[in-house]
Amino acid sequence: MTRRLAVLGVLAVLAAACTDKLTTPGQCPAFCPGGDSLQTRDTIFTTIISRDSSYRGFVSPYEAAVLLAAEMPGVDSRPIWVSPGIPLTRRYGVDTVPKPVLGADSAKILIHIGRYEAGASNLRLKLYHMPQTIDSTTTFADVSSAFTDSLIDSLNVDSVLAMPNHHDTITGDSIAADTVNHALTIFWKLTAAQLPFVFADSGRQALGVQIAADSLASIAISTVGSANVGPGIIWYTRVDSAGVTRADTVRKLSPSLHGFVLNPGAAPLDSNLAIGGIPTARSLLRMKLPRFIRDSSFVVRATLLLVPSQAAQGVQSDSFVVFAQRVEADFGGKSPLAVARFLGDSAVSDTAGVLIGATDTVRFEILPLVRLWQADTTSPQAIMLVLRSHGDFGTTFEGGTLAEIRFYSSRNAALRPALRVTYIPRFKFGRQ
Amino acid sequence: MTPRRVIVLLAVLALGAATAGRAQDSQFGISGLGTPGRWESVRARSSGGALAFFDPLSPFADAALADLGQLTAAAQAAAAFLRPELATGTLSLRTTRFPAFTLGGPVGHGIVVGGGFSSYLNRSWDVITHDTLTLRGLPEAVTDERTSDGGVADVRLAAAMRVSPRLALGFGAHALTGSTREHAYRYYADSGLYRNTRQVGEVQYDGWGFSASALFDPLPGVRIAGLYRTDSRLRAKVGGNETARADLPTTLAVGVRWALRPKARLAASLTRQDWSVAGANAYNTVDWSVGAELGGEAFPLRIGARGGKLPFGPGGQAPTEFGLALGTGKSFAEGRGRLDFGLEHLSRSGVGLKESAWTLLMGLIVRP
Repeated sequence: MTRRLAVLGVLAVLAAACTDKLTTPGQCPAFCPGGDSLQTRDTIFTTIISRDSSYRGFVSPYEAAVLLAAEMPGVDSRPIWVSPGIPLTRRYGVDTVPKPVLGADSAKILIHIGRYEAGASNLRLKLYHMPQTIDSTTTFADVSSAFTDSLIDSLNVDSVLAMPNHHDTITGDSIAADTVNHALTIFWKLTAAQLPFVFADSGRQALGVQIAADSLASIAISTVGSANVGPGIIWYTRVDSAGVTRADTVRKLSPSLHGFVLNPGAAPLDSNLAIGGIPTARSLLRMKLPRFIRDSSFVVRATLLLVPSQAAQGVQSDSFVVFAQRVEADFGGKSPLAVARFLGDSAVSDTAGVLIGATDTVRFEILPLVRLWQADTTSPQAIMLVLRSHGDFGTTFEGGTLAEIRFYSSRNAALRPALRVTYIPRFKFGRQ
Repeated sequence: MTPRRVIVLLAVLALGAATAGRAQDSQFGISGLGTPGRWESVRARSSGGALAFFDPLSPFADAALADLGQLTAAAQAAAAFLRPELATGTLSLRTTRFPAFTLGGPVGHGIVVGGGFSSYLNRSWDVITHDTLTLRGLPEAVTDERTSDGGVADVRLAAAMRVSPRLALGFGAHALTGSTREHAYRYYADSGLYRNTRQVGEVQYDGWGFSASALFDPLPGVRIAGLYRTDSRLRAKVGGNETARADLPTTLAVGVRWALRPKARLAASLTRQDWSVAGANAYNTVDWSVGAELGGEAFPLRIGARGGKLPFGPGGQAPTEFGLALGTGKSFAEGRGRLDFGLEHLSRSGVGLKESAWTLLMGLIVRP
C-alpha cells in the first residue's frame, strides 16, 4: 500500500507540474531571444490622399431639420414658412350640415427654439408677412422687400422671460422655458388686425422671422423632423352654429413649407475641401495605403490630419462636429456613407469638434477604418467629411448649422491632407 | 502489478505528454538555439548520466541496443521546478516534459533495431520586457512579450550488433525535426490611443545526423564505450522560406563501466560537443558524469553526479553546470514492466544568472 501511495504521489506531482509557468522578466539583450525585435514606427504619409473633391447640395434650407435664424456680421439668415389653410366649415356632434367659419378673432404663432445662445442679450424676434408665392427656390432677394415693409409684430424674448410666468399680460405673449433641454417655446399672440384671416386663402399664411440681439443673434427653430414640430399656428375662430356664434380653436402645428433664406448665400466651391454650410457640402478623400502598410504591418494608430485653409466660418458661438465617415462604395458625391452594422461598430467614423474661428489642424483617429481596409481590401479606401450638429435625443444631423470649414486639399502640396500612421512592421519569426 | 495497471499508467503518461506542451530547462538557452535535451533514460539520468552509454533504452549510444534481448518500449516524463536568480530577483518556474520514447528489439541474425524520439533542443520560453518609447513626441510605456512553444526532436533509427562476445557496434540515423509556435506581443500603456498587437508565427526546423558507437569488454566486469555523432545543421523555415541556419555540433564521448559485483556497477563518462559552430554566444562543452547502480533489477538504487558546461549563454563565457541525482525502480508483472523514478538537482551559473532546478523523473518500461 505504501508503494502504491508513493506511485500515486509521484503521478500527482507530475500532473501538478503540467500547468507550465514559464514567464520570466527579460534582461536584454543577454537573456532575451535573438533575431528580430519589435519596432514601433511612426510615419506621416503626405501623398497617399488624392483625388479629393467637394460636393455641395446634400441638405438645402427647405430640407433642413431646423430653421436657422441669425443676424451677425457676415451672416443673415431668416426663416420663412407657410402655415396651411384650415377648413372653412366645422361639424359638431351629429351635425349633418357643416357650420361655416365666420372668421378669426386672433391667432397664436408657436415657435419652438431648440437652440439659442445662452449669452445672447436683448434677443428680439420680428414676424413678417411673406408673399404667398414663396417656395423652396425662394431667395433672400425674393423676400427682402417683404422683410422691409410687412412687419406684423415684434417680441422681446428677454423681456417676456423676465415677466411673471414668462407671460406678457398686455400683449398675451408667453414663453415656456425648458431648462433641461435649454429650449424655449414661444406663444406669440396676434390680433385679427395683425394677422387677418383671409377666406380666399382659407387662412393660409406665409410668414417670416428676423431676429436681432445685442450679441449672439442666432437661434435654431424646430421644424418637421424634430421632436418638436413647428412653426405652428393656432386660429381662434368664430363659427356660425345654427345662428349661434361659437368660438372654436383650430391648430396647425406643422408648416406646409419651410426653409430659410441666407444673405450671402453659400460661397462657391474652390480648390479646397469644403464641409458644411447651407446647402451643405461634403468632401471625399480617397486614400491609397502603401502595400507594406496594408499587407505587412500592424497599424496601431492612424490619424487623419487636415489643415484648415481659413478659419471656420459661422455664428461665433457655434461649435460643430466634423465626421470623417467611411463610405460603403465610391460613387463620388453620391457615395453611400457607412452605417454601424453592429453595436459598438467603430469602423464607421471618427469625429472632431471644431470652434468657429479656429485654424488649428483637425485630427481624426481612424484606426478602425484603416484596420477594416487591411482586412477587406475590396472596401473603398475613402472617407467622406460631413459636418453635423447635435439634434434631439442625442442624434446628429446634417444641415443644422450655418458653420462651414474648408481644408486644404491635395492641390496644395505643402498643406495637403495627410495620414499619420504608427505601425509595427511584421515580425520576422525564425531569425536567430 | 497487473497488466491492467500497466495500461492505466501508460495512459497517465500519455495524458502527461498531451498536456505538457512547453518546457524550459534553462534561461541560458533563450539567447541561443535552445536548451539541449538529455539523451538518457530515467535509469541513466538517475545515475548522473554515467549509465547512458550502457543502457539500451537511453537514446545515446546505439551500440547499447545490442544488449536488448526482447522487444522493449520505454517512455518517460519529467517535471521540473526551476529557480532562476536574475538581477531583478528570484523566480519560480515549473514545467513538464515528455523527453524521450524508445522502442527496440532483436530482428534476427544478432541484429537489434531500435528507435524513437528524444528532445534535441527545447525552445519553449516566455519573456516579458518593459521599455518606454517616444511616440509622436511623447513618452509611451510599452510591454513586450515574446513566447516560443516547441522545440526540435531527434527521431532516431538505429541498429546494433554484437560482432563478438566482447565487442558490440551500433549505428544510428537521426532526423531532427520540430516546430515552435511563437508569439510577439506589444502592449501600450495608453491602449486607448495605441492598439495592442499580437503577432503569431510558426517556425519549422529540420536537420539530420549520424552516429556510431562501440562497446568493448576488455576485462571481465569492465566495459568501455565510445561514441561519435555528427549533426549537420539546423534549418529554420517560416512559410516554407528559410529564415535561419545554424551548424550543429559533433559529439565525441567515451565511457567506462565497472561491475564490481553482479549487483554493483560503477560508471563514468566524458562527452565533448563543439557547439561553438552554432553561432554567437555558443561554446564548446565538455561534460563529465559518474554514477553507480546498486542492487538488482527488482529494486535498485542509483546515484550519480554530473558537471560541465552549457552550450549557450551571454558574456563570452560558457555557463557551468553541476548536478546530483538519485533514483530507483521497481519491476512488476514478472519483469514485463518496470517503473523508474529519479530525482535530479542541477545548479547552473553563468554571467548574470544563477539557476537551480529540481527535476522529478518517472519512466515506464514495458516488455510485452
